[in-house]
Amino acid sequence: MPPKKSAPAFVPTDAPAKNGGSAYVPDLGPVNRQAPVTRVDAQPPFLLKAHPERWTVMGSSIVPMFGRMVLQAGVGGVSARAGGKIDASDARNMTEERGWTLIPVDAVPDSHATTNADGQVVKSYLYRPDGREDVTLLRYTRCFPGSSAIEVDEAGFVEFCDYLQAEGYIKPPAAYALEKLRARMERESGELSDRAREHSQFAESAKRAKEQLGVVERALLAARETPSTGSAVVVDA
Amino acid sequence: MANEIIFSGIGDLTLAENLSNTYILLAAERSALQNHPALLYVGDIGAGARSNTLKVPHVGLMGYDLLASTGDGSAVANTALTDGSSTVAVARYSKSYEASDLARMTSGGLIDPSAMAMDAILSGALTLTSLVANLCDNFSTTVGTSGVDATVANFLDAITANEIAHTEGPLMAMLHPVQWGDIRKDLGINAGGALQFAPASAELIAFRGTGFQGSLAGVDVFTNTFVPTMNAGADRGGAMFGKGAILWADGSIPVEADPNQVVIAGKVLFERVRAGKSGLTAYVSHRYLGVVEGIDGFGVTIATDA
Repeated sequence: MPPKKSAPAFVPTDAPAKNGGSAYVPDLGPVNRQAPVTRVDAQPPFLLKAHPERWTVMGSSIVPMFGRMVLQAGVGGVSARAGGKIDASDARNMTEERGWTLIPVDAVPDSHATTNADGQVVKSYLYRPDGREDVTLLRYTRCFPGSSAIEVDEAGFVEFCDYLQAEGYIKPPAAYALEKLRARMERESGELSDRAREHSQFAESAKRAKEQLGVVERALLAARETPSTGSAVVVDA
Repeated sequence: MANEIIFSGIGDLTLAENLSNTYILLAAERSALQNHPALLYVGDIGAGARSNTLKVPHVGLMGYDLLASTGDGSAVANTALTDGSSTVAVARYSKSYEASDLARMTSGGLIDPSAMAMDAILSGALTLTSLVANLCDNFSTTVGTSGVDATVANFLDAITANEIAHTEGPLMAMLHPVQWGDIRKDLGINAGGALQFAPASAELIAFRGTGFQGSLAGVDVFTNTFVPTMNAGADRGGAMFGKGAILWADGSIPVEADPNQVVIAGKVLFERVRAGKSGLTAYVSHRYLGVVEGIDGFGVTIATDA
C-alpha cells in the first residue's frame, strides 16, 4: 500500500528557491510595546510589627510571624493630614498597647541597603517594584515583570530577622511561646502525616511540617528558662 | 484575471475593528461585605462631629468579672473596671473617570452616568472589603503552618480559638482563594462529607457577591484577593473572626442642592463635573471609610501557603 500523502503546505509565491533566496521577516503591523511591570496585587506601605506570641519557621530558623501596621489613612487608626501626609500616632499607640513592637523601616543590616528612585543608597526593608507606585513589598519578596508570581528571598529574610534580634529590636522567642508553637505544629504535623498515608499528594506538606516541628523542638530545648516568679500562698484552712 | 474584490482592497468600505456590543468586565473583587454581622459598624462621624475619629470603648461588664467569694459580715473589696478602646479614623476614598464628549458619544453607552453610578456603588463597597482584608494578618492568635497548604483542620482550629476567646457569632472567614481552594480540596479528600458544607446559593451570591463561597461548619466563607501576603510572601494571611474583631465607620457627605450631586447606596457621593470649555465630563465618586481592629481575641489569623 502506497504511503498516505499529506496535504501540501502553503507556499507563498515569493518563497525562495531551494537553493538561494533571501530572509523573510513577517510584517506584524504596528506594535505598541510597553515594558511589562509586575502584576502583583496593590499593597499600601506598612511598618512591620512583631508580637511575642507570633512565631513561625522558615527554613531551619524560627522567625517572627510579623504583622503590618498599614500606613494608609482609614486603616487601623491612621488619619489623613494635609499634603498627602498621614498621622499614625493613634495607630502606633493602639499597636503598642496590644503588645506589638513596631520595627523601624531602616532596621536592616548594612549589607541589605538598596537604592531609591534617585539612586541614593537607603536602608529600608520596603521597596516599590518599577512601574508600580501602588505596590509596596518587603525587600525579601521578589516579584517579576509581567507576572503576579512572588518568591521569597528566604536566606535574606532569615538574616534580617536574626539582625533584629541581635540588635535588640525584638526579643528572642520565650519558652512559653515556643511551647505554644510546638503544640500547634505537632498537631498539624500529625494531621498531615495521617493524610499523607492515604494520599501521596500530602507527603511533601507532611515532610515539611515534620521538619519544621523538629526546628521548634530543638529551639525549645535551648530556650527552656525559669517560669514567671511569684510569691508563696499560705492557705488558712 | 484582474480587479478581484478582496478584503484588503476595500479599506474605504470596511473598518479595522468593530466593537462588539457585549463587553467583559476586567477581573476584580465584587464581594460586598458590609452587611455581614461579623463586621461591627460603629457609626457615622456625622455632620458637625468636629472629628474624623470615633473612639470605641471596650468595657468589662456583663459578666466580665465574677463575684468574689466574700466572708459573712466582711466588706467586699472594689473590683477594678477593665476598659480599653479602639480608635477608628475615617478617611477619604475617591476616584474620577473623565471623558471627552467624543469618547462618550462613541463608547456605546459604557461611559454614561448610569454605568458610572453603578461602578461607584460597587467600588465603594469593595474599598471597604479591601480595608478589612488589610487587617486579617494582624490577629495575635494564629493557626496554620508556613509554607504548608491550608487544611480543614486549620479551619476547625480557628473556630476553636474563637470559641476559647468567647467570640460572638456568626463567624466570618475571609480567605485568599488559594487558601479556600486548599481547604475545599482537603474537605473533599479527607473529611469525606463528615463536615457540614453549604455551598453558596445563587441568591446569596447575588446578595453577598461573587466571593461568597458558602458556609462551612457554620462559618460564612468569603474569598478575596485583597487578603495580604505574610512571611515575606511565603504565605497568605486570611482570618476568621466574629462580631467586635473588626470595627468600621463611615461618614455621610453633606450635599448641596445641586443636580450634579447625588448620594447613592447610602454613603457614596456621586458627582458629575462638567468642564464645558474642554468638552470634558468627569464622574467622581467619594466615600469616607475607616476600619480598625477591635478586640484582638475575637479573631484568628490563618497563615498558610500562598
